[in-house]
Amino acid sequence: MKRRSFLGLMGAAGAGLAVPATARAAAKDFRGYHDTPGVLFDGTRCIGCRKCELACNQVNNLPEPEVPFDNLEILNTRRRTDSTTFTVVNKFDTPGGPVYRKNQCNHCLEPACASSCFVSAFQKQPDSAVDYDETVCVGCRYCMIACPFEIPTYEYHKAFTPRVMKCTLCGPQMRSGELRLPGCVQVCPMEAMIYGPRNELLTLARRRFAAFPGRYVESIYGEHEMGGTSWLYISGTPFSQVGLREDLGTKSAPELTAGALAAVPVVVGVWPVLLGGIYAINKRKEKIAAQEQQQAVSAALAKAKAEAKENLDASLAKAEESANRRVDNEVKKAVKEALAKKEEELKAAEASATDEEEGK
Amino acid sequence: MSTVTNDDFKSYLTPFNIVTGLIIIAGLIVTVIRFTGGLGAVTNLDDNYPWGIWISFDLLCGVALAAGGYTTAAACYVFGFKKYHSAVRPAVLTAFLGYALVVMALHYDVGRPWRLPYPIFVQQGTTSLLFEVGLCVFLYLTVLFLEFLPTLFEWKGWRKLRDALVKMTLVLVIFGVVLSTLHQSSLGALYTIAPSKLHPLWYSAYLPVFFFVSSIAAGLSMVIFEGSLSHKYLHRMMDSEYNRNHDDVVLGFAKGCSWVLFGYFALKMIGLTYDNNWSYLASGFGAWFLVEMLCFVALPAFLYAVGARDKNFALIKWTAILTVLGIVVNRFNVSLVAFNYHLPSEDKYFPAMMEIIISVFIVTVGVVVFRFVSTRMPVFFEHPEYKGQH
Amino acid sequence: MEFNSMHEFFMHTKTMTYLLMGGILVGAILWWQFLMGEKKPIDNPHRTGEGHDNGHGH
Ligand code: SF4
Ligand code: SF4
Repeated sequence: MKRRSFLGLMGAAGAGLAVPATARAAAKDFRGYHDTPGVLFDGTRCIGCRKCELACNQVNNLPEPEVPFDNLEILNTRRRTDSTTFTVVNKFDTPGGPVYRKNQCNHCLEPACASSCFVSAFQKQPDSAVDYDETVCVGCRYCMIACPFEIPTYEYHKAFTPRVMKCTLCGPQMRSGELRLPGCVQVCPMEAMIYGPRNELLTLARRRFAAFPGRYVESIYGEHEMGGTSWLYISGTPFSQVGLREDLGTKSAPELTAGALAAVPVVVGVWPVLLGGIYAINKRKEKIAAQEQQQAVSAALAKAKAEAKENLDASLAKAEESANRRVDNEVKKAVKEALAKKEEELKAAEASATDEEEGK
Repeated sequence: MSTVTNDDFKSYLTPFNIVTGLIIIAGLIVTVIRFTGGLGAVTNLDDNYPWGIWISFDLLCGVALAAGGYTTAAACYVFGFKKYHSAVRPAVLTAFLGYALVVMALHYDVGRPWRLPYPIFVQQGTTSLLFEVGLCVFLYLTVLFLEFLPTLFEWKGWRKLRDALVKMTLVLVIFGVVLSTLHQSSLGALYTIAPSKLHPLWYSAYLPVFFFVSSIAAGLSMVIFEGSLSHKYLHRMMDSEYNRNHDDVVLGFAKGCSWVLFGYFALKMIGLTYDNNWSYLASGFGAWFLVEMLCFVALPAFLYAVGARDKNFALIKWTAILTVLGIVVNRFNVSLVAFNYHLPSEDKYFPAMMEIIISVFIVTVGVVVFRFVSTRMPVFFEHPEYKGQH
Repeated sequence: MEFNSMHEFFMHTKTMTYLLMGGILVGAILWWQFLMGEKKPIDNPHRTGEGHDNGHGH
């Protein structure tokens, strides 16, 4: 049996492993994808022949590249995945000579691309492949921002049907029975890659560490990085020297965003209560202020009224008095006048009487 | 006859109109190229930099600078600063236009714009912070539209509709604050998923808080800044009520903004301490971080305070510009400068000419529409029939 | 319900939370009106709704 199809030939029995062990996934312990298939890449075996790149290109019907796959010169330039290249092998010059490492989607256990996509276009499948559904993709490219391994790429040159492109772990081909192993795994002449249940790949890697003391850096890249990946790497040189970042941490994408997401419902719960309360308090203050003002106004009004009444009364009294006085005066005057008149009449009468006497 | 038309034509040839016209023509040309040739034909975006200035400037800055709408409305209607009332309408109009333009810019940026409703109506990726942003921007745009409608109805004289809407003001304002809090912060939270790509000085689990708090400062400063611009160019549209309160608004907002910037500065320091990132300050990125913090946060906070104490309106106006610039610098730092900090400089992104043209084009469209609306509808003045009825 | 990953778990809980949030916002408006709409049509500056002037609540 060829080593690359480690343990029980996954291809034929694909269905058996295609069912993740959901039964074991307890409520908060999410280990559903810990024993689904993965690939172990052994950096000490890779010779940089680019056969896997060719195979990937063929099984995915990708356009032929400008630089043919048998040109190994290109290994001297650092390359990354792009929209027509799902996998690249890079050469790294290390103190111990050149080292090669293959790069492609790591099919994370907690994919950042899936967590970040706002139409949920990425789905981790029971056979470990992180699938992409182009029929819903909007093309926001947030998945490309999110992926810590810089894997998803975009068809920038297409005007109407641009897609996000990345390795599919040959999920579609294997599900349809077209392939029994991922294209790259199948073709590797050095058996640098092994496809099998992730749990068992981890055990196998450790067994190699034990069997070849000093040959490996004794840790498995992808066991815990960003919550763990289905694609695992072992290497003879420190991972950071072969382009694998060791500063990613073990927190998975859902954990990284959990805090911000948890704040969302809190805002919805707290803000209306708080703002409504502040509004009510302000309204109440305004109302009280208005009432106080009203009271003040009415008090002032009452006072003014009282004062006005007093004034009125006083002036009324005065007026009466003066009126009375006027009447008195009138009367006195009238009496006086009457008296004066009488006197005059008397005088006149007296005078005429004397005239008559003189005239006789 | 022909001379009359000529004169008419000439009167449209103001420098403002000529420049606007040229920008709009250039924008339309690039638009055609974008939608027939794809993103690659007009942008410098690549697989390392999937987001360029259309996200940095049009989305991140656009949303932050349109924050004047919810801050002013909340200050007036919720917190009871009644004297800010005359500032609410211009602020709401700017916010509405701002968000409409953000959505317009997104149509350029995403690969398949006709699918923009998908996240809400077809398949909801609820674990995504971008879903959060999309949903809130969609709802908030609706809220802003409803808040703006009374202006339109007063202009048209549709009293019944207008009165019905005005009754809903409080609900709309509180809704607006909730939605704004959410999406302003979520824009920052977008980057919490990528700690390995964003420089530690800018990455923080507090990113959503930073974005939210700084958006308040941005909103207040934009209101001050636009107020002074409108004062200069749209003075004839302003009633005495607007003019009487303008100084009050400026002073109050300057004070508020200074206070918010103080809080923002404090929060950033907390972020540094919480992640123990002080040692990075000694690097090149550290120097740039200090420039951002000292020149664009601490300095405007101080200048605002001095301006408000001395009632120095010119100083306040310039400080508002400085603050707005500072927010732009911050958003660019997070989304471009400090993003992919680990990549060699030859892999770095620099915007293409045509990307810049589209950004300028979109801002220009905003200015033109703002002018159109505010020279016709009761924005800067109260409609005589509805005086004091808000 | 079984979840294979934290992502699946969050997808479920966040969806439920979003629906709940919608409910909360609508509920908040209704509750506010119920709370602020006193039965007696006294002078009440808080009243925002229309048509609830009497017989409010039940
Ligand atoms: S490596 Fe990147 S693209 Fe692949 S599953 Fe992980 S996050 Fe997604
Ligand atoms: S580009 Fe497509 S797949 Fe990627 S996050 Fe956006 S909608 Fe999802």
